[in-house]
Amino acid sequence: MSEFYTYTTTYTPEGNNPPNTQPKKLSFTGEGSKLFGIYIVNMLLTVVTLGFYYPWAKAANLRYLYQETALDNDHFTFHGTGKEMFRGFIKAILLIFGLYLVVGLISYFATKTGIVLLSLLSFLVLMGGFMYLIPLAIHGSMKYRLSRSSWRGIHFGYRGDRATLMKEFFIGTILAMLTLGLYNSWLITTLYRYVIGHIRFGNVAFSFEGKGADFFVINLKGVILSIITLGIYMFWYMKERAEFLVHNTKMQQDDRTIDLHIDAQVADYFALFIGNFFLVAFTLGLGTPWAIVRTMEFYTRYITIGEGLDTNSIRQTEADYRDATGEDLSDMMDLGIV
Amino acid sequence: MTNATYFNGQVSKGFEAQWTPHNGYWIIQYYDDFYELQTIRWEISDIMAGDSTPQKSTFRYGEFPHQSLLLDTQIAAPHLPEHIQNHTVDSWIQNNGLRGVLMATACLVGLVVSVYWFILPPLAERSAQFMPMTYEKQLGDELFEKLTADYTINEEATTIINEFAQEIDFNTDYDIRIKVVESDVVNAFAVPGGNIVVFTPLLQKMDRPEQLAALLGHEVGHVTHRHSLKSLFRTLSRYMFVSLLTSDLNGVSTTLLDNANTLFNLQYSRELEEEADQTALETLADNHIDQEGCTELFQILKKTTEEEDDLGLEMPAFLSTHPLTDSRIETARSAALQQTNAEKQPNLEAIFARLQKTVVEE
Repeated sequence: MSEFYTYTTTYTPEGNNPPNTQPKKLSFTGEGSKLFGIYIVNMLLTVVTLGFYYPWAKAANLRYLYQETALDNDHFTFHGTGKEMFRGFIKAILLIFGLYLVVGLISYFATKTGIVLLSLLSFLVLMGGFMYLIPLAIHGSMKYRLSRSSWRGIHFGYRGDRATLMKEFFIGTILAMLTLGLYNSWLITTLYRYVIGHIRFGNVAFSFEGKGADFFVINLKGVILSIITLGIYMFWYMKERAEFLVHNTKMQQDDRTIDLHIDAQVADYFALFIGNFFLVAFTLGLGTPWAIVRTMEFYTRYITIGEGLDTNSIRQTEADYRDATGEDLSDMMDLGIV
Repeated sequence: MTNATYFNGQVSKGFEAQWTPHNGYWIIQYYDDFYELQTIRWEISDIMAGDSTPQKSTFRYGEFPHQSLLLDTQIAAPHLPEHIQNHTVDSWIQNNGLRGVLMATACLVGLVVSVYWFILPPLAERSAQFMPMTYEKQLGDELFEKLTADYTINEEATTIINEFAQEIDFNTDYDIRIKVVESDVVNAFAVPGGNIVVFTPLLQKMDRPEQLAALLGHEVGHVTHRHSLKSLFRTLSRYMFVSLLTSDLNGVSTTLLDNANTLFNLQYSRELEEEADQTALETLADNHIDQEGCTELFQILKKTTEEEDDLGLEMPAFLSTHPLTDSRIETARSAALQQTNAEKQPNLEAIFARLQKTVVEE
């Protein structure tokens, strides 16, 4: 892994473009009907090719969503291609298939021979396999997706180390198991801190400052009150979780720290959730593109990038990266990474 | 010369630039931060197409990190070299607009429907043939356990009916095991691997061993030809197909046993029924049993249907899973008319008489 550090000479913004550091918002101009056009062709080709078109479908989808998202009137670009993702897709299939094959074989011999230790082993291999594959998927998909994302020619990047993430994930999962899930809030916070903390947008670094204890309180309160109120509290819970994530994420450019803010109200979360639910459930999934557009509009409308990000002086720093295994692996395990 | 925005790939600042296309290369000129005129030359062969909208098109150039140029789409269009014309699916959609979307939707629906109705069933039935018999038995036994868990088994009748079956050579590789269960529906069904379930009311309606022999011959036919396995595969493959379309893969693995109940509702196709009838008739002939039993069995079922129809009851379960047609009755009748080897079956009659006593209506 070689990072790209050639462009680190300090750039002095004293020429014909003054700094531009006011608070700003992303804008999203995508339309449900256009996304539906892409979707329907994707589905058609995916079915015709027995699923092998999937990587190209995904690339077309992402390309559209990126190109309709803009900052300061310039659009984002997704550079990933179906061809790159196809390699990752095949690798991901082989990895998951291989894991199931091994587990299947062990449990086959376990029933055949009646050795209890073998069935225990097959369970451990399955657990171990997922404990290995999930951080692999997170790492790989962050690495690939971000390196294939750019704005004004400046690429995003992910500098996390796979072994460290695996270690964090492994320890966290064991603790979560031992505490019957109570540790989950700390596990997720730790993962956010690690993953977000290693995102770069050129020379802009991201960080996450959320505390596990705060997240635990939010989750505990959220779950208990949601049960008591028969789910009505869910929208307050959604708001608190989103705020925990967004308000604790910071950007650092040169010596300036930039805050992020989300100011959606409970009613807005309610409208987003209920609207999307009806759009998807009552159309047998055909309304999904409109739900995606609504979600994108929601986040771009309510999230503000605070004072301090100078969009005229972000410098290119990240290396090129083309391995898409994690991208498809995370899809297969349905990890729902943004 | 046209106005454009140039990004040098090193800093996120757009430079107002002048773009001039030439034969084989583009020239881009802009003033840098220090007001010095910079001239950039892009060789046509190294230019890559970026995203484009009806308003703006992006072009990238060179090694990573790429330089890029934002141009008015209309102005750039006539100057685009051959290798960066877009031929992707998205542009196909853009070119064909609403008509394209409708066409794609129609194709997709047509494809999904034809796969569901015409392609999956024969494929699933074909693949059912390849399942090893030992595994089929194992699966069948598990399904059988689940299915009969809620029923009271008539142990006495079960013992006798198996004795009855022993007297007949069904000419099958399967180990046939029959269970008689208490119920108030007229029904019988076969589970993959050799298990057959007969409900008491159906036995009560019979008055001759030949009828029971015909019923067993028919159900064994379903077993030997793997009909319920085929139907199960068909149902499963359709379920999997729908799950794949809606990308809900989790459901698939748990379907098999959870959906054991669908065996009751597996509708055999007419071809499968006729095949099972044929097997029943052959079994009767091979064992010198009067094939008239088959016709009588059908009459019993038909009569039950009519009676229950008159009473406003639902169609007997057996007929809803084994559709009875006039042509089937006709086939059985003409076979019986031509039969020459029918003999009296004292053994079967004795066992049948004992069986009848165990299932008398209270």
